[in-house]
Amino acid sequence: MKKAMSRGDRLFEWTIDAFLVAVLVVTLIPMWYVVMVSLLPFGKSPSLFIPPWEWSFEAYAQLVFQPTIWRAALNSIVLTFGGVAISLTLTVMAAYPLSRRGLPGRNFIVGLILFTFLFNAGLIPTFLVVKDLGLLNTYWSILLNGAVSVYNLLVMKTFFQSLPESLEEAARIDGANDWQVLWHVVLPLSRPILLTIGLFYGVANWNNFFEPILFLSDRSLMPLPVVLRDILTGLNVAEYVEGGAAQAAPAEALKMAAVVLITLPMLLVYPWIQRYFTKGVLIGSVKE
Amino acid sequence: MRKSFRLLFSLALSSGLAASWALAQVSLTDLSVALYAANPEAPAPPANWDVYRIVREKLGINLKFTMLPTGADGDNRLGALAAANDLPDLFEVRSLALFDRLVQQGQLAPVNSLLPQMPGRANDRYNDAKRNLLVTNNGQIYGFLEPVTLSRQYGIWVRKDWLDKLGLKTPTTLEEFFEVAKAFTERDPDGNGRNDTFGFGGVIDFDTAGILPGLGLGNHFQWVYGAYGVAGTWNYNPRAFAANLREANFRKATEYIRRLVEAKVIDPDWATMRRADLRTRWQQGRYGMFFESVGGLQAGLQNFHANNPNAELLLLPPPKGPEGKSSMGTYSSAGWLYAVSKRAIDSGKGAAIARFLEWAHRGEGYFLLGWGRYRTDYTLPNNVPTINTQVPINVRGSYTQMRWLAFNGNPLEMRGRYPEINVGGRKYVMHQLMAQAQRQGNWIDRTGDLVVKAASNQADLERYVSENLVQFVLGQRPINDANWSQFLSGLRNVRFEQYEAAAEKALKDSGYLR
Repeated sequence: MKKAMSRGDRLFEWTIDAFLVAVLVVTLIPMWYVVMVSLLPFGKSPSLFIPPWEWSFEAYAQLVFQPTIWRAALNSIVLTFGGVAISLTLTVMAAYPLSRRGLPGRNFIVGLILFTFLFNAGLIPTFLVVKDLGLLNTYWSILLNGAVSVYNLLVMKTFFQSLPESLEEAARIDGANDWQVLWHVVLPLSRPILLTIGLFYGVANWNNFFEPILFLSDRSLMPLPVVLRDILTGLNVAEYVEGGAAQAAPAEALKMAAVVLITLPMLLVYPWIQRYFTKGVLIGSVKE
Repeated sequence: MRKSFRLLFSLALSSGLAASWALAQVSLTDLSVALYAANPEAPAPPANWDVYRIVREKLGINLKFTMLPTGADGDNRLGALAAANDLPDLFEVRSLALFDRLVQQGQLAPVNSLLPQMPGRANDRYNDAKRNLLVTNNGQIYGFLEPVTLSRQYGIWVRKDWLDKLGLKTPTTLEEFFEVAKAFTERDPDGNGRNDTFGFGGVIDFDTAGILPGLGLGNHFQWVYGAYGVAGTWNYNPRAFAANLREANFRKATEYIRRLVEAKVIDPDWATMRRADLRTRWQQGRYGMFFESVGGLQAGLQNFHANNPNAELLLLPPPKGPEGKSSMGTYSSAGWLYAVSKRAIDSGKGAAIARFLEWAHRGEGYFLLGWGRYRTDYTLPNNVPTINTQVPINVRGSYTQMRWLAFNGNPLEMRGRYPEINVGGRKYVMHQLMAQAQRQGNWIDRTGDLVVKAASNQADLERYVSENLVQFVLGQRPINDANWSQFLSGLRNVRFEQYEAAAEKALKDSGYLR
């Protein structure tokens, strides 16, 4: 039988609820503001509420009808999916053996990997490596450079370690080799961590801005964040505006519409993997 | 016999063609050029761009053009390329600090020897010895520093329809400006029965698009300091060089701005607003006078007249101060900067670079790079290049991504770039307004400011001055002898004297201060 809550407990719950609602509001207000300003018509000041009958989609139209944006979106999709595939494969391939206690020199290898986490090579050496490998101005310079995140690798390793060893032993008794254990036993049980780490990689690749700028010179290879920034730069430099190039939407609306466009795909993906996400990010946080 | 002859003839013909093709290949010079995109919103030129073919056929150059990322990212990319000893042959540099670093690292080649190889361009663009001082090291010129064409396009715009309605004259002095601003604020010039207008709109803005904002409140208030003879950061007095903020008149100018704020004739949000907000508000018709560039005005005119159908704008000369001085502010005559990598010169590409730059300077090259495809992107009625606005900027922009290499600010060009436009039943001749803003602003050339290296604590130093002036102007600290002395003595804490001394030395060494 459920025990009735005392007055103090109820008060405590209400306080927690009120606090969470306040956090939610504080989180939502900036997002709401961004959406509202993106719908800002000319002649209106940015504000938290613009009545629906005054909404203007001119900023979105101006961005979406840019000839470069669709090519850039395709580039971003290729880089995101390609990046997730490569990064997840490499991370799993590194995390699984490192999670096995019997691996000789395991601690030394983990130490080496951790070293790169604490001290990275820096911009110029990385550039030189990418150049010497002949990867400049190719997707590979983005996909391979930093393909494995040490943080994600360690989280995944911890997850693999938490799987019951008896499952692996059972598979081995049935004659499974390392690859079969990984493919048929470990990975099917690892969906939460795969989706979580995949999301981490996906978001990082989708938002990747600096590496394309550094490694790519062919404009047709540039991803969405770079192209959106360039479009905004072009539209905002009013000092250099030329004849007949008057803006069709306020500069602020254009900026915010760009923010919405770049955020939307990730916002749409998130609900589908949310239930795995919570489980995945908690890996390694509790030792029982 | 006939068969053999045919065979021989064919062989001779094909070997002749092959030889000429091979010769053409041998004599072609590969030239990599990297510039900041002139139209960032447009794609790169297509592979079949006429320019590539013409440059190959007529100049013997195999041109490879890449666009640098905008802003500081472009500097980062150039820095990385320099570290990899992979700088393009000819490239644009927007940061003088990066340029200096590349010179010190030996990555750039002196361009003195190239100047005689492009006489037209060198004579028209690079013959200003004073400007060249900015890119000179040990007597060698290390870059092609273009003259600036669009600077000084800023000014104060006044609502003539409001002046007429209230029976006021165009203000010519600071006192008249104050009175007009007060009337615009208090006498309901838009006649809507609400107290929703302000005399002046300006923000704290340090954008350096063609003008130099100086220390303090930024370029939107330089005209006040100009009226007191203290516009800009330095006084350029060879006998008593100092920062202008040490002058007694600097305090008087600050007191005048305080008066404007106290009388509530400036938009009360001015201290926290950004330029985009200012633009929104003048377009809404909230200001009787506002600070804006000609380009910024052109971009907003359509919206402005939609909101204010009967409005009429005038460009105000900078108001005169008590001693009759006036200036809209300070500017630099230095425009785009192009550098040549040492690698390019070492591999014998100097002549090709000179050939290409000369070609881009006038005639066919100028029009192709500056204006795009004839009869598609532009036409030439009465020799004035006229943009075809039916082709969207993001399409025609691809063909003019290198236009800054071509544009030189000649009168016909300015007429083409800033044409007459009709908005809201009013005619605006934009190139005339541009010329008017440059001519009547009494702008002060302070190109020398660019040789002054940023102090190691530059951000702290600028913040100190700016924050103190904002506090004075907002009334958070009364402007009196004690507070002003405290402000000046506090400069010591941010090592301002060292900055001043370094500036004086740099200006004297470079010849800007004599």
